[in-house]
Amino acid sequence: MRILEIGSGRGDRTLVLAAGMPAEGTLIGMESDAAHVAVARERLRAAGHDGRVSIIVGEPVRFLHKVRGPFDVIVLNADVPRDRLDRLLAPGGAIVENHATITVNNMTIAEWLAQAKADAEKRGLPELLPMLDGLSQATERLRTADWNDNPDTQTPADDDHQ
Amino acid sequence: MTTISEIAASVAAGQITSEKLTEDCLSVIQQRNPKLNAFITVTGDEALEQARQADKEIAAGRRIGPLHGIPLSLKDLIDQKGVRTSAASQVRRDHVATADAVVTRRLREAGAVFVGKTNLHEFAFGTTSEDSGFGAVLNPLDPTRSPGGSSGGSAVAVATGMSLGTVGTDTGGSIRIPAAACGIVGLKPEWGHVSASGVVPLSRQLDHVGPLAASVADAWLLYNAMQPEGGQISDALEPTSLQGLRIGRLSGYFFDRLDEDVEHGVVAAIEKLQQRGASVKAVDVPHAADMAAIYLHLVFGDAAEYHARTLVSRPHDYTTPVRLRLEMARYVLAEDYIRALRGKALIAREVTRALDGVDVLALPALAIPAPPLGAATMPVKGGQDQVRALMLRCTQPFNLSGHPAISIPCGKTRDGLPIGLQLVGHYGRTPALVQAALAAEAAIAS
Repeated sequence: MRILEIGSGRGDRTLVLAAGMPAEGTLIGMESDAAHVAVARERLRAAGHDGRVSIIVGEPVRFLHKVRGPFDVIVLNADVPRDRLDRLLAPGGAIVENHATITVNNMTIAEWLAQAKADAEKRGLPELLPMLDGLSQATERLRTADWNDNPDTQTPADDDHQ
Repeated sequence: MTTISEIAASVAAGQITSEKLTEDCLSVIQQRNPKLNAFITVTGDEALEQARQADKEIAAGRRIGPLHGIPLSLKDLIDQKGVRTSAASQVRRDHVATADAVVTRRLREAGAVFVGKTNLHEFAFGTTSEDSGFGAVLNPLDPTRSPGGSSGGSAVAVATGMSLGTVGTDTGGSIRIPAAACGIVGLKPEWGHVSASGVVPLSRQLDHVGPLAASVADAWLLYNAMQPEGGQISDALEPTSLQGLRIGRLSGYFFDRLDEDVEHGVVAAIEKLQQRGASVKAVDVPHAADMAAIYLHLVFGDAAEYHARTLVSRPHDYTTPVRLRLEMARYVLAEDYIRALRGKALIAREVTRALDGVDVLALPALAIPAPPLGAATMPVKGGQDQVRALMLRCTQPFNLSGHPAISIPCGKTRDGLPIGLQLVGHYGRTPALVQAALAAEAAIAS
């Protein structure tokens, strides 16, 4: 799995994505703020992800043509024109856009749900509240599934590479 | 239902013209479409012109093949040059396709006549075809019920003779679900084996384009014509011998929550195949119960990305239920999306393992009969479940895994509603799956 993250910031989300990747996954991040990149790199190193994650310093729009695809997932935390991304996407690959109003720092589902509901209400969409409860149950199921590796259990083993 | 395979011989022999076949379809559309709402756009004049042209070519000895002069329809998610592709949404009411989708072009090259664009669940984001910017589609067998979806209009078109075959799309079951609910055949090809270029996406990694037809032979004819020129094989396949066919009957989750009559019909069909010489063993997909959560995060993430701009700029051009589900989809976090991608790979491995040592998997296509319009829940063995979850539970695993899968009719409920048997084949062996389905279809009908 290859991931491209546009707008890596101080690496908050990069760390979460790196932890979720399969063992052979790699991630390239892009971030224009050099001070943020320094922080992100240090945190990734501390978490042991530096071998699989690299971050490019520079304005994503200006450096996109230097990145070589294809990527299975492109995570957008910053705005870039979509037509610039198409050539970087693997067949069947996906672009994931993070909700601009939700900031993530390893949120629990309860924290995420509370923020999402508050946001939906603020936007005048009260109908979403019960629907978000349903979504949170599915998310809970994903996060607690026995096939998701957790750092405090066993070392990940990928069936594809046995 | 008239099959293409039967009628093609009459067309070849000059006993029936394409113009007559096309007029017949247009006449059914004129009589029944005002009520059933299967078509969003009818291209009658164009179709008759294509038909007369086909008749000239056939009379001059230049018949292309079995689809030459055959009236077909296209789900209104698939581009046909010069015609609107609405995706059943007012968001796209002004969009006119400037070129044919790859599948449209290939069928056109095979000589097909296009009678119109069929109605669907808006942007294919639903399973009942009720939420459409052009009004709900009704089931011709019982107009108080849904025809299934999202390719609901396509299934109705074939079931009623508004067209002799059709092209649909399937992201979580949208070909096989309406095929089962309307008593016809639906083939979801292996992922990537039919081009999705020129087709409005729901989730590119889960979208499949494929045929709905009156018979397995017809579904194969259409599928074969959708292949690139070098990839086409014989227009007619021989059925597999049931003697020695190895069937893996999926157990657990796949038979857990079914309508009683559906269960009875599917079990009886598998027993019939066994009586005719097939061997049956129980197989399973250990993490089947995680599939719905995996699927939801992927389809939500992908749909939210595709619709991000128009959800802000034209929210009121969506139907309310579809708009709200897209709004909810925007809250899926990238980290959970990554988890779901890993789950997708896991399910693909488990389905592949279930196919170890068998030729096909067998299970229901649709856990319930066609649901009443507006129903939120339906009774199944052991309780009352959400309609949406029930409709997807038997089909979505093979969108996650990408294996080829086909739904064929296998009897009716006590209320006279069709039941679908689903067969699933190995990667790279779609013809073998279709050959097994031909044999099963014949055995079930006898």
